[in-house]
Amino acid sequence: MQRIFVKGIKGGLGSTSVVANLACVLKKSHVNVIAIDLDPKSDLGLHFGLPWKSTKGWSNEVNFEDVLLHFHQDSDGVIFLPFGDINVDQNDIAHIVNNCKKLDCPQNSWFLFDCPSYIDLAHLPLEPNDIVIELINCDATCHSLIYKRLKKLKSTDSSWKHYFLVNRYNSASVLEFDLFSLWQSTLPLMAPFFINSDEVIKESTAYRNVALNCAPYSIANDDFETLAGWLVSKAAL
Amino acid sequence: MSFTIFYNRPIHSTLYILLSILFTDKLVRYILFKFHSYFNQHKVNVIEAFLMPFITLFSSLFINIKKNKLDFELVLYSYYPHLRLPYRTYVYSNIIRFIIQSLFLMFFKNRLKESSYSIKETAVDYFYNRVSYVLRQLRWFDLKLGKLIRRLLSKNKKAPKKSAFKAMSEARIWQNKLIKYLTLAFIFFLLAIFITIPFSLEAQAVFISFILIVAYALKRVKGQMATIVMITLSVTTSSRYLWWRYTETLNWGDPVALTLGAGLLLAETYAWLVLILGFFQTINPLERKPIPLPKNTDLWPTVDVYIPTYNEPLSVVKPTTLAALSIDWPADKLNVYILDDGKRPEFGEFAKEVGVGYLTRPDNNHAKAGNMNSAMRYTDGEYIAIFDCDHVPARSFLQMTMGQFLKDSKVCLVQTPHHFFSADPFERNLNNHSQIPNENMLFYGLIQDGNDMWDATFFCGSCAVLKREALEDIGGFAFETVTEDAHTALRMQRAGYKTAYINIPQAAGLATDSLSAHIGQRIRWARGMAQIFRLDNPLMGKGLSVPQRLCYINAMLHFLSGIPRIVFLTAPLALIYFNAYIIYAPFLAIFIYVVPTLIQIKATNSRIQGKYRYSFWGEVYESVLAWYILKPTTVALFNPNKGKFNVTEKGGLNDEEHYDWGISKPYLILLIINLLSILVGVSRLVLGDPSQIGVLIISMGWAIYNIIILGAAVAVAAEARQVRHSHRIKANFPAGIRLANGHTLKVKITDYSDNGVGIETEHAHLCRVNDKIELLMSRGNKQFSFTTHVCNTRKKQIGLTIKDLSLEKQRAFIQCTFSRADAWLDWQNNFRHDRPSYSFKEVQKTSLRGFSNLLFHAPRPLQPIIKFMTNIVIYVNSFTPKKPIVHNNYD
Repeated sequence: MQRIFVKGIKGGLGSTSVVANLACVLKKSHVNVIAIDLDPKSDLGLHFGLPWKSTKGWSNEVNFEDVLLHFHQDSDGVIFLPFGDINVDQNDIAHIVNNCKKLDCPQNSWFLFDCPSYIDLAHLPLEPNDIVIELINCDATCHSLIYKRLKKLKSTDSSWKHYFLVNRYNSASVLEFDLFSLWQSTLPLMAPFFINSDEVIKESTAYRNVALNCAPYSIANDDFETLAGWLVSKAAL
Repeated sequence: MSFTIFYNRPIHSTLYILLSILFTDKLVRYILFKFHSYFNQHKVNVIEAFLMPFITLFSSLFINIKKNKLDFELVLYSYYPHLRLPYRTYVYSNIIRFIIQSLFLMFFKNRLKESSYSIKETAVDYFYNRVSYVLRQLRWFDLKLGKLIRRLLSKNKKAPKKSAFKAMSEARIWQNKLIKYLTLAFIFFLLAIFITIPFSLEAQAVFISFILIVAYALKRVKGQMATIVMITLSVTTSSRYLWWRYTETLNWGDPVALTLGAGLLLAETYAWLVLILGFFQTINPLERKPIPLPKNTDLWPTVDVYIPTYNEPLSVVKPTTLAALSIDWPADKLNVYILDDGKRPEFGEFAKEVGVGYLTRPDNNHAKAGNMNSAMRYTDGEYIAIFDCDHVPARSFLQMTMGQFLKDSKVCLVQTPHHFFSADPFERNLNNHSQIPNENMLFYGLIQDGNDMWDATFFCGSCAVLKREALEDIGGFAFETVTEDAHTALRMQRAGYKTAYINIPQAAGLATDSLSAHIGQRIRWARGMAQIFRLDNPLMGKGLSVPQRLCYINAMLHFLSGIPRIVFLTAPLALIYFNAYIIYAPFLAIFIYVVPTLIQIKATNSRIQGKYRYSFWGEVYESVLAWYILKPTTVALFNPNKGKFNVTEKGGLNDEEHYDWGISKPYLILLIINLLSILVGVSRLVLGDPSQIGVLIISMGWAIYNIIILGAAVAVAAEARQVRHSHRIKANFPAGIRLANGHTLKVKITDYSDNGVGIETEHAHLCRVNDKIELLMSRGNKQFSFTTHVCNTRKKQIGLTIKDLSLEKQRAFIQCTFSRADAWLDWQNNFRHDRPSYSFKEVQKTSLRGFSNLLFHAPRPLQPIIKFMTNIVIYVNSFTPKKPIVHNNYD
């Protein structure tokens, strides 16, 4: 079992769509994928074709046995669990993450957690084998946030594998290009690639689907394949 | 019948009435209708037009015209396709054509109708089928036999770890000098016997056919041992031939024939020498592999990159400089310098802008060598990499080459091939770019690797790294000759340094853009080689090993090929015109000695050089150059200090197709006298002494071969148009585009130039001309984006132009394209092995093209004559019988 936590370093960096696309790519390469929405926005389901009227999720239930009723499967075979519409605190989130271990699923299953940006990683029950992907955009705000995060990671005892991944990269922008070059040469923990900015990711959400299905010829799609392959290699280590 | 009509058209009406007496109304109308149509539409004269309908009517009594009408026209057209239309206008010539064609159809096979075979046709068919069946059987037998022999010969050596040659040459037995020399002496003794023993004609025939049988058996056997056997056989036969020529075929009785014969004999001796030396040179190509560099970059030495330039435009130097800056090497250990002998301020500005050194000198003494010597005073890198200003290096250049120096401190030079991404004049004018290995290929693909085996790699002036220490040791680049490069390497080798060649193209440049420039360049090389021969003869002097001397001497001999080539092109004329027996021997002897020897040599050369030079093309290349290198080499041999350095012009345009009459003049003359000799030969065949028929036929065959080669040489002189300012380079690597609406698309880059890219998508795209598109290309894990505009779209291809990039972006573009490590890797693998018959066909085709070019481009005053002549040929040809047209049944 491999757990991947995806969160933005700040809000609105596209972590939900990254989780959805990654889940789909992994599923297409015959990995059993379970995506779990830890974000109170509860919008992961939209990417998998869940109607907006369906608002219930794990937060609506107290017992984990009842949570089982809220698992869905999309047309590609990705299993996902929506958040629901009840406010919860960080302990509940940690609780559901732990409970997921109890699920009876094949040995090589992958759990993808879509975490809200404000979540404190220290509160999650992270293990050395877990991978945390922190999404960043190439802008000045992220630049300062990264350094803050690095400082914090150094001070706390972080045992998990932590990586920064650039999302919505546009190499035509001089600032983005320069920042990315700078990060690549100076920052530790940078993923050696990036997700290209692509209209298709927005559009696919409008189709309630993922980029892989909407535009298999886009390079964003390639990027997700690269990401998946890279994660598989990291997980094997 | 109303009378008004009668008054309007009296004749018509009278006719109508008269005919009505004899025929029914329907027939009368038919006759008049036909009459009008023949008379008015087909412009047949009155009487014929009037008679025609009656003929038709009359024949309709016997045959059903309506049914056979269409058929008849079709059959006439199919069986007599060359009858001129309209048939009646050319009635007399058509009659002749009709008769000839009818005779042809009667006596020769034609398969128009599958049904209704006559017995004769079936018999003919049977005959043809048998012939093709026998041929097929023979081919099958040949294949099986070859495979069988291969199996037999390669049975007992399953996996030879070392090459057979190496194993033999390194065997312990050679440690003993006595055994070594005894074996050598024994081999030479055997060879001497085989070569010098005079055979009777029959014995020679048996001997040579035995050799040919062995050679045939080895045809399909791969491996070096077989090649060595082939070489031995070739050496024996050719030496034997030459021995025979010297001892038995000089006509001492006829001074003219003796002089001419001696000339031919000298030329043949030259060819023999070059052949033997060539075998020696390429017997075991080294095929050196790159040596990896140490992990620790502190151990890597400092390298200066020199880009000497004189009069080339900045647009040519720019990509080279930018690519040189992008070579993978620690930045503090890589210094790029532009050595500008043109002293142009804009070059200085550009150098400053991109941060490379800019060196000039007060004088321009000693051209390129002087330029680099002067630069050596200002720079201090341990190694010097040299790129001609149009050779764009790949990023991996130093990674591939520097390992050699670090492994062996005696190495002073590592050379890589010169690769040209544009078509050279031969390829462009013959339109065979990347279909037939070009002139360079033999040298960089095979000969340099062979030289490397004997530690005699040539320095070719560019795309190479030299050791500064070694250069200083010999007093800098040699400047006494116009080929400073070869001379420098020779001196370093004399001083005991080693050289290396790595056959991986690590840079690419522009080929010369016109035949005259190309010839100019070759003249310079030839002159330089002749100068070295005189000033610093590799045969004499200290420091070289015997193989090194032989390799150098072969290279120099190669450039002396002018006179012998001209001799070969004119030799058969001696007998035809002057009745001079230059090979004084009976027809049968000539036949038995010459033909098998030639076959054996051609087969061996094809085996050795097949991937790098196709059979017969060498003759074409040599023939074009022969006349022009003849004079400079001769002058340089007698007065080596004469002549100055000329710069090869590159990167130009031919705005229009034209024929370079100046260049092709010597070949036209040769061609004309050869063509005339055929006429003379034919007349002598008919009128002359019957005892001479054999030799005449051999001479004429040779002359015809020369005509074919000359035709191909003449074809090169028709300069094709060169439209593009920048050459497109074929490529195949992935990239992406981002459209204006934010969508991205995976694409494949199919070609690129310095201001454009061709891409291909597998998916529908909605790009239109002038759309702005971001092109995304990666280098390592960096992505670069370039603003481009769509200039043309086809179904899946899009052409993009790149305009006004900033210097930084230009550099990125060069890094993503020209300086990719894999940019030039597939250049040698595109060619399949030579097949002599196919190759000869290609030469023939080229030759025909040369003749048609000649006619097409002939000067205006000659045009009417040529037109007249061609018309005559076409007219005569129109009488010859033609194959009936076969209609496709599926129509």
